[in-house]
Amino acid sequence: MKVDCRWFSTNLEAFFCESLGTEDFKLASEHLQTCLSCRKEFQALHETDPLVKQVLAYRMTKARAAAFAPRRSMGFQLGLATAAVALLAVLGIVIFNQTERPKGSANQSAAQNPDPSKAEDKGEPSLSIDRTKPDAPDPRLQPVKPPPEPAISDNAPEFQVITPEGYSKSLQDYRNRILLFGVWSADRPETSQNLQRLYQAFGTRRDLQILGISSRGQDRPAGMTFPMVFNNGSRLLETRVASYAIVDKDGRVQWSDTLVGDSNVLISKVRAKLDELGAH
Amino acid sequence: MVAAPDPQSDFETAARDCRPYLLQIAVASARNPVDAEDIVQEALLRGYRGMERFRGDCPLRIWLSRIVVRVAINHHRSAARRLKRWVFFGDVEMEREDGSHPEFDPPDPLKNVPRERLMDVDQQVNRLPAEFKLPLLMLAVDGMTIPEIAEILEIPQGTVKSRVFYARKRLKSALENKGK
Repeated sequence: MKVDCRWFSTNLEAFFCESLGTEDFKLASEHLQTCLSCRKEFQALHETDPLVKQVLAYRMTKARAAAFAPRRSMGFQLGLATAAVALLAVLGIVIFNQTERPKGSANQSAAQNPDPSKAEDKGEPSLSIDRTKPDAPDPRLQPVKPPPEPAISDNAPEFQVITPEGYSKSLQDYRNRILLFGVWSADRPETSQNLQRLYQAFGTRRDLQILGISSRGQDRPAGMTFPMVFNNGSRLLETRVASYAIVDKDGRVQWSDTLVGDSNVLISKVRAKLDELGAH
Repeated sequence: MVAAPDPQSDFETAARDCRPYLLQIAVASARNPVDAEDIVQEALLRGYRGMERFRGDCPLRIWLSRIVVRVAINHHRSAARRLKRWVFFGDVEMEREDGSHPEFDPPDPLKNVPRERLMDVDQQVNRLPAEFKLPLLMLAVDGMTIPEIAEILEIPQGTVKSRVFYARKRLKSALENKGK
């Protein structure tokens, strides 16, 4: 019989358990004496013994410590549990308050700056029942927060807009007509209202094209009927938000002014300019 | 005239003598060594009540050890017992640092092996299947032999050897894998 490492590995368990026959046991012992790798493998199994002994000692220490640890009474345990619950409750309240803080600080500032008209009526009992929360701001009075103004680079085209249908337009497309365009913004409602008044006043002139340009991709406010386009990253002939410009048939800006202000004054100014340019 | 032997005092004497031994068996058998004292206590109580069933065909400590192993195996099933006592880490640390005790003076586990290493090995031993773990740990009990383990667990000696072999093999490979 050939005694090699494979044979020894196969019979390792039997050798370990001393269940090998006398002859085989002798052969295995001899192989173990001569083969270094098998001897290492066999010794490695025994190397765990001191570790296991240490583990048992470690466990004994724990058992002993537990046996002589002071026994906690039921009252102590209940007290500890109550303290844990109370701590959790406090933590919950703190976290809740932190999440509610912005609303609370708004209320506080409102309380510090009360409405003077309310202060006058303070002494008189009010007959009307106000069912709204006193500190809740009226959502209708809140200005619409506009989206950020898109960045326009220096080498952007002078004038390029997109119609709601998706067609791109440049000044060339309005070359044969006088162009009046105003840049409105939803956060300044008077700009779109004044533009609407201009459209109502001059929209029927055949030589004139009126455009309301939205530079921030905002949709036309309700009730407005002026032709609306979106700015496509152009500089709009240096016309800013809440301003309007009148461009002649050759594509030159002839007049530029603000859209903010009294609409009648605005209309009279524009009328004078359009008549001067011959827009009928 | 010779006085009749008092079975109660005999049992008390034997129990006192083999209590450290039984505690080691309980520690080897229990899932949590913290329960070992309770296990020994309950096993001694059961042994005392069932003394008439002891036939005398093996030493009393072997008979009591069998009871300890059975109690330990069933002990973790009782949730009430697990919650019976809270042991705080502080208590354990304090006791360990205090060192010796008149009844039992365990070898210092931190003497040779670092604490982290010891906890690793303990964890790996705990992961061994119960039938492998028990003989392996029992063999580490002072003075315990394969025939005694076989007698306590009521299995053949060859089975004990085989289980110890496989337990060592698994533990060795687990520790090697952990070290990589």
